[in-house]
Amino acid sequence: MANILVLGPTVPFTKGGQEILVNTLVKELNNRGHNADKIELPFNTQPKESYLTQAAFWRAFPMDSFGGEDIDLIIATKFPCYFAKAKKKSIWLVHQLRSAYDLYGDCFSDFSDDPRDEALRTKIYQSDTKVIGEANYVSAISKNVSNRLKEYNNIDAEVLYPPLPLGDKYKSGPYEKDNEKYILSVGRICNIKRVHLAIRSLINVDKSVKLKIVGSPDEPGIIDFLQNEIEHYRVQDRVEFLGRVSEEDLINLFANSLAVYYAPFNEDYGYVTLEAFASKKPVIAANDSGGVLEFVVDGENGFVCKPNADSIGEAINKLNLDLNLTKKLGENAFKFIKDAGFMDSSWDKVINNLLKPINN
Amino acid sequence: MTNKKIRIAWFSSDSNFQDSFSVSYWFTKQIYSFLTENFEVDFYSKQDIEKEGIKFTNYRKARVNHKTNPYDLFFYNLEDNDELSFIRMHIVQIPGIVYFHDFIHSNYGPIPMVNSAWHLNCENYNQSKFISYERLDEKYQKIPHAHRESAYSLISLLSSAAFNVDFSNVIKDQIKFNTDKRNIYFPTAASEKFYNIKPKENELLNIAFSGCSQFDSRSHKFLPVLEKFNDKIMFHWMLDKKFEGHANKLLSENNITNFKIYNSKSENTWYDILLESDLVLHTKFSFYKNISPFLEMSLAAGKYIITNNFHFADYIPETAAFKVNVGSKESLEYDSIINKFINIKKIGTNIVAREFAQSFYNKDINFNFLKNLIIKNLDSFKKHNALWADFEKQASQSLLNEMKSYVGNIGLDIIDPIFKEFDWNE
Repeated sequence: MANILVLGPTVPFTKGGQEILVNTLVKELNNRGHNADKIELPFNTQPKESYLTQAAFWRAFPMDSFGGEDIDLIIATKFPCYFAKAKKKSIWLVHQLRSAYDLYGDCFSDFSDDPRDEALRTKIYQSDTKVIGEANYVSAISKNVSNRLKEYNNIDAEVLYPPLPLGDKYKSGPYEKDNEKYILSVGRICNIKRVHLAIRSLINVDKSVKLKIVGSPDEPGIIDFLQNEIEHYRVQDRVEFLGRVSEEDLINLFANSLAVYYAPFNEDYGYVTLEAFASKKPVIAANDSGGVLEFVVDGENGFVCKPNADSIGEAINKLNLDLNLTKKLGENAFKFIKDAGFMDSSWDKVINNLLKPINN
Repeated sequence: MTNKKIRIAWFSSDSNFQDSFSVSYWFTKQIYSFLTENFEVDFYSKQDIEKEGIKFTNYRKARVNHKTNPYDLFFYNLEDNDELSFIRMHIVQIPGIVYFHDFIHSNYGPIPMVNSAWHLNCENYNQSKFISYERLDEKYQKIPHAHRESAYSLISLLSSAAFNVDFSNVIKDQIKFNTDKRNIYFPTAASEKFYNIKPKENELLNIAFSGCSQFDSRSHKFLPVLEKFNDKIMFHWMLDKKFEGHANKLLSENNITNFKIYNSKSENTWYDILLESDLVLHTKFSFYKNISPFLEMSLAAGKYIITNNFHFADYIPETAAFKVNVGSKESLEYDSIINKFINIKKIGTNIVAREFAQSFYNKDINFNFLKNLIIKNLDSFKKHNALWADFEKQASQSLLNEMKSYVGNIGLDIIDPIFKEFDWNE
């Protein structure tokens, strides 16, 4: 039995895959007899000039013992918590500060051609390389994240896919219920998740198909932007914002959907894909959706579209017009996730690897 | 005494794009031997890869290499394609020569860069002092790409004469980067083999086209004309694979049966097509896209050419090409020109076109011009590199002050050792 701290920065008022991952990991560690707890510090996304100061606080915080209990291992998940120092450190990388890495130079990044930004980026690169490199074990939640780490920081990371957060609780249901057919979108609502493409695609799709959006806004102005899109494309009666929903409601929403839309830009991993698969639902992704494409195979268990409304609309139409095809893709998706071990014992593999620094 | 070669960091595509031809890759291949003979050059692209004998290094290593063994010059090739966004980023990190293969006067096109502070940077740089300014909060890129990219270029090379005029008339007033800004028309050159192409006696009138199937390439205006001459022509269409389906549809709609489609653009394919062709269409209606290098190849081949009386073709003499006005009478003009050629038994070499090409698109002249340009401006490049390094240092100090302003005195005690550990105070 070991004393383990799982570290994760949190952004107040938002909830996403990172929070689910930290909570589930702590629970699974405790289930296996370890004494695990989480350490969270708030992460302020603005202003960016404060990023390194926030990283410094993680670094400065002593993690060796608490209340007379020695800490055997810390498990860090993302920027800037992996700056923390301890006797033994594992990293299960969710992502780095992507605006300074792969998103730099496009509309999703707040880093620009301000030379102060370049100075900040350089400091982040260099120090990331140092603090991740000093860990006793480095892993990443997907091939996409692992590849990025190799590409930018020249550090190898083993891929440990996070298992499904709700284990075997997912269920499948009809693709149409009470004469209602809907596409489900789940996740934090922000620009990079590209919910607006699903909204726009509705004009290319039969009016009987609706869009249900689960999640809370994660960017100022994003809901106004989406409402504006809804009005512009005159689909007010076909789009529903559900906000954050309970576990039970989420399971039912997945179960009764026609399909799940999940086409973010260069996603790290994307629980949503696997949750959809566990509910026997095909996933509509985009050809630049990153980690999602490690699971979604075009025409096998979903559709990989171009990131535009026409292509996404075409995919929805195929699923709507041919429910046998939808069912077949959903069954394939379920088989895929089952065969890959996401439904059952894969936590053992994850935890065994993360604990390598204290087991070896 | 040894003459140390000028060190250049060369940025371009390392292959054709996923779905289209890349001029910068083609140009890099063409000039590779000349560059490496005359300069010490490192080639940077998106990845570490060796392609057709050229070793490309991931662009992220350029700054690192610049620190250990400084470059005299950064040379950037720019095209209207998302895959070259890494070059758009790098331009704003270290200024250099920018070769505009496309010149985008719009905020559409490649991935936008929001919060660009190019104008503030230019003002600061002009007075050699970094004065801290409020950070921007743009949701959408407002300014045309060309403004920012030109602002950071020490010398702008423009592949079309029309771009060059645009630069002089519009851009120069907009950008205030004080680098004795120069803009030069620098076209791509045709390889020698094109100058040796001889006319062929064909049964049918062989017409070649290298444009896409969309409106801006004008196929909707000339394909209905070709239908009329269907049994007397053979139409050769070279395009990017992504347009093949659309092109087939258009050909079918216009009942054109004598055609060949070549679904991958390359110099060799165009050479083979020109060997067969009597008449070449280089039609285009666009303010910021060029049709190099295929137009230059056709001129060098001494082919009779139909182009549009517009922008990129302004500089081509009326005697070297037929210049059709874009608009309501466009189809009639295509009809009239093609009709003239239909009845000619043997179509010879267009001497004026070839001579024009020889004076403007001669590889040796162009490459030596570039070499001399670099050598002549070497002192200026060195001066700007030093100024830029100092400017970055000042910006870094400004960032440090900002970072520390987010914690109180107690916080400073906590973070100071960490800042020292990571050299963040530098």
